[in-house]
Amino acid sequence: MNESNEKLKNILLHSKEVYKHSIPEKMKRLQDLVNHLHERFDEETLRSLRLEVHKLAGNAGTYGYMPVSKICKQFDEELLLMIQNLKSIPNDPNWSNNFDAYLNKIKEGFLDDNQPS
Amino acid sequence: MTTNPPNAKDKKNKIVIVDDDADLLNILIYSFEAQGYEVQGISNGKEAKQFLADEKNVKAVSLLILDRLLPDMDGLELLQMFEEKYHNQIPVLILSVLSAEKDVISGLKYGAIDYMSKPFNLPILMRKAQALLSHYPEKK
Repeated sequence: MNESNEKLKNILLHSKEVYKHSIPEKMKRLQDLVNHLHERFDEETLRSLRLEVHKLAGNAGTYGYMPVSKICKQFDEELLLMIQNLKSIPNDPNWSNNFDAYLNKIKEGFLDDNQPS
Repeated sequence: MTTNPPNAKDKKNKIVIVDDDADLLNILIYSFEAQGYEVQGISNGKEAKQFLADEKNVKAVSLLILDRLLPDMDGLELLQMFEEKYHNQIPVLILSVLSAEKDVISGLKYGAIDYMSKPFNLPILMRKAQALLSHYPEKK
């Protein structure tokens, strides 16, 4: 394998380890945002949640967690729809009901460590 | 047989990456630097706009990699400004989660040379970047 590819492989391996160690912090951040939204609707927090989910959709798969990217893409689309229909949210008592289900799926996706690189 | 990128060792090609995702920005910076490129990462639209508005900065840039969903703006807004000022001088590669047909077409319509969706395969992205760099005039 040439030198260039070998360097790239080592960078990816090292970066994956760093990313793996950052997962608990990422999950805590998501959980905190969701808990806040369960208590009350707040546009800024909803947008923050969307940004975090969007980032995971974009980076998890690059680091070997493709199922997490797929789940987050779906969640991202749903959050975007909510942001585009903000007026309807305060009237819907169930608006954040499936957030925990998404978080559980994301958590499970991260726990599955046997991801192809 | 693969070889090292054609221009990386001869001179410093500067790549600017605009992305608010630190996890991706870091791996891209390390990877490009390991290949011999000079890299600058910018994590928000306002700073990117200021940087790219200055012709002295842009003169040294050989490739712009641009995310779409920045914390303060859509990357397309940045691309539009960039293309109005520097039309066709520097290749722009959009790298984004937003990868529906309408998103890709918008990006290409606004002037991006290529559009890659996230999550991406790192070796493929590196090859695309090298190909774009080798097809554009060298920076003096």
